[in-house]
Amino acid sequence: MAITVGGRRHAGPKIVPATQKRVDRLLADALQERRESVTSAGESQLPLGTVFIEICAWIAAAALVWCVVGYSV
Amino acid sequence: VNGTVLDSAPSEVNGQLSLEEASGSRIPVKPQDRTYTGFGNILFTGIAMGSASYGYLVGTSLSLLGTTWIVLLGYALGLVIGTAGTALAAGFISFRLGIDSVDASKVALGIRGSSLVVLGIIAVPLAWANITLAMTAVGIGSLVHTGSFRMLKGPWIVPITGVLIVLVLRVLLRKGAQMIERVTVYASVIQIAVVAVVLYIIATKFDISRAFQANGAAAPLAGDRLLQLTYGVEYGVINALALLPSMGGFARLTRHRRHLAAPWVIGYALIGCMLPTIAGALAAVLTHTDELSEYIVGIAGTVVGSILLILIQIANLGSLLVNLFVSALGLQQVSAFARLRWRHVVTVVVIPSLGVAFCAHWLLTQVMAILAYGGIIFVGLTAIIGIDYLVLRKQKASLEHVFIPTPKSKYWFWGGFNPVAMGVIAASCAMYLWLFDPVTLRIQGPFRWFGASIPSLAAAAITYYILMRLLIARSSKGGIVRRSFQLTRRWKCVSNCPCSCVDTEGFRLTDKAT
Repeated sequence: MAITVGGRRHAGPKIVPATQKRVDRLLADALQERRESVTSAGESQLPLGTVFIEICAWIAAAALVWCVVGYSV
Repeated sequence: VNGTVLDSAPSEVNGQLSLEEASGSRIPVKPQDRTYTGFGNILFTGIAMGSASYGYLVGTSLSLLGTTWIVLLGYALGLVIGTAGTALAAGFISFRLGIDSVDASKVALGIRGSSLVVLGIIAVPLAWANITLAMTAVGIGSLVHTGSFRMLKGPWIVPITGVLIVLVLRVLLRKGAQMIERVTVYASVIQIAVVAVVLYIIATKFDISRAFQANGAAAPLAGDRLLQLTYGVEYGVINALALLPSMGGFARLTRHRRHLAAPWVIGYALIGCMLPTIAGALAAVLTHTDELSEYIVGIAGTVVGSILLILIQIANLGSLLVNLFVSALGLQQVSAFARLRWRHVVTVVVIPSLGVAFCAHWLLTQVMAILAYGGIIFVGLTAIIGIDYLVLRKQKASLEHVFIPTPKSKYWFWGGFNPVAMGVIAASCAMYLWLFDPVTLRIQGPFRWFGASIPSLAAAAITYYILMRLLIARSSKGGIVRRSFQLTRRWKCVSNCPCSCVDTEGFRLTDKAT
C-alpha cells in the first residue's frame, strides 16, 4: 500500500495477511481513506481545543465541589 | 448501542457471522459514516446506558453508608470525574482513528495485551446482566407472592422464572442488533418514566428533605461525613471507569469532537445513573427496607407499586439484552469464538445466567463488591491508555500498525505485550486494593481524602510515563517518537539512511535528502 506523506508517495507497511481477500481490501481501503481524511481535514492537529478544556472543567468543577463539601461537613 | 453493534447488524440478523463481517466490524469508521451527529442522540444513548434498574440497588447500598445527601452527592461527583476522565482517555484516540477501545488499546498495551480490554468487555456487562437477571427473577417472584397468583407460591418460583427469562433472552438475542436496539429504546423510556413517577411520589407523599438528611442504616457504615462523601465519590468513579471499553465504540461513531464529553457526563452520569440511584436511596431510607419490591410498594401503594414493579421488570429486559449483547460481541474478539455462528455465541454467553437463576438472592447482596471489583482493572487501563496517547505519543498513532497482528507491528513490543503496561496495571490493582477493600470497606492511607481510584490512577499514569521513557522509548519497540527523529525529518532523511529512522506516522522515508 502506498502512502502519501508530505505530497510524496512512500511505501507503507503491508496490511496483515488475511484468509479472505475482501477483508484485506476493505481494511486497506478504509485505512487508506481514513489516513487521507485524517491528514487532509485538519484532524491531524492536536484535538485538544475546547473539548479538552471542557473535560478539564467538568473534572475541576466536581473536584471543587468535593473540596468545598468535604471541608464544610 | 456501541459501534460494533451497529456494524455487526447484518450478521446477527442473518443469524450468521462470517469472518468477513467480523473483520468488517473493526474497520475504522470514516467521519462521513458516523451515526452520532447531534448532542441529543448521544445524550439519549448515555441515558439508556446508565439508567439500568440496578441503579436502585446501588442507591439502596449507598444509603447504608451514611447520610443520604452526602453519599449521593459524592456518587454524582465521582460519576462526573470518572466519565470525563474516561472520555479523555478512551474517547480521543477512538474518535481520531475511528476504532473501538480494543483496537485503540493496542497502541499502549501491545497487540495481544489488548485482550485485557476484551476481558473487560466480556466480564463487566456480563456481571451487570446477571445482576439485572437476578433482580428481575426475584422481582417477579415477589409480584407472584403479593399478587393474585398465590397458588404459584414456593421456593422454586425464582429459579423457574430465571430460567424462563434466560430462554426468552436467548431467543431475542438471536434476532440481532435491530431487535435489541428497538427493545432498548422502549425499555429506557419506561425506565426513566418509572424513576420519574417514583421520585414524584416521594416528593409529594413524603418529606423529601428529611429523607435526604436521614441515614439509610441505624448505624452507618462510615462514621464521619467526610468519609461518607469519599465513599460516594469512590463508587462513582469506579462505576464510570468501567465505561472505558464502551466509550471507544461510541467515540468512533461520533462525528463532532465537541460531543465527546458533555453528552456523556450529562446523559450517562447525571441523568441515567443518578436518577435511579436517588430513587432507590430515598425509597430505601423512607421504607427502611432494602428489597426493591417492598420499597416500591411501600411508597406507591399496592396497586400503583405493583404496576411500577411490572414496568421495571419489563424495562429490565432492555438492560439485560444490551449487556449480554455487548458481552457476546466482546467474546467474538477472542479467536476461539470468532468463527462461531452467532446463535452459538449467544448460547455461550447466556449459560452463566442459568446458574444465576438458582442463586439470585445471593448475587443481589454482592452488588457493591461487583461494582468495585469490576472497575479495578480499568483504573490502570484508563491511566495507561490516556497518558500513552495524550502525553507519551503526543496524539500520534499509526492506524496501519494497529491492524498488523505480527511482530512487524510497532505495537507488538515483546510477544504482543507491553511489559511496562502489564506491570503498571497489576501494580495499580494492588495499590487500589491496599487503599480500599470494597467488601470489608477497610481503608488505608489517603483514602479518607482522595478515595482509592484517583490516587491509583495518578500513580499508574506517572509510573507508566517514567518507565516508558526510561525503558521502552530508548529501544526500537513501541513506536514512540524519539527526539532525534524530529531533526531527521526536518532534514528529510534518505531511504538508505544508516540510522533507519522512522517518521511519526510509522513509514520509512524513501526520498533522498535535499
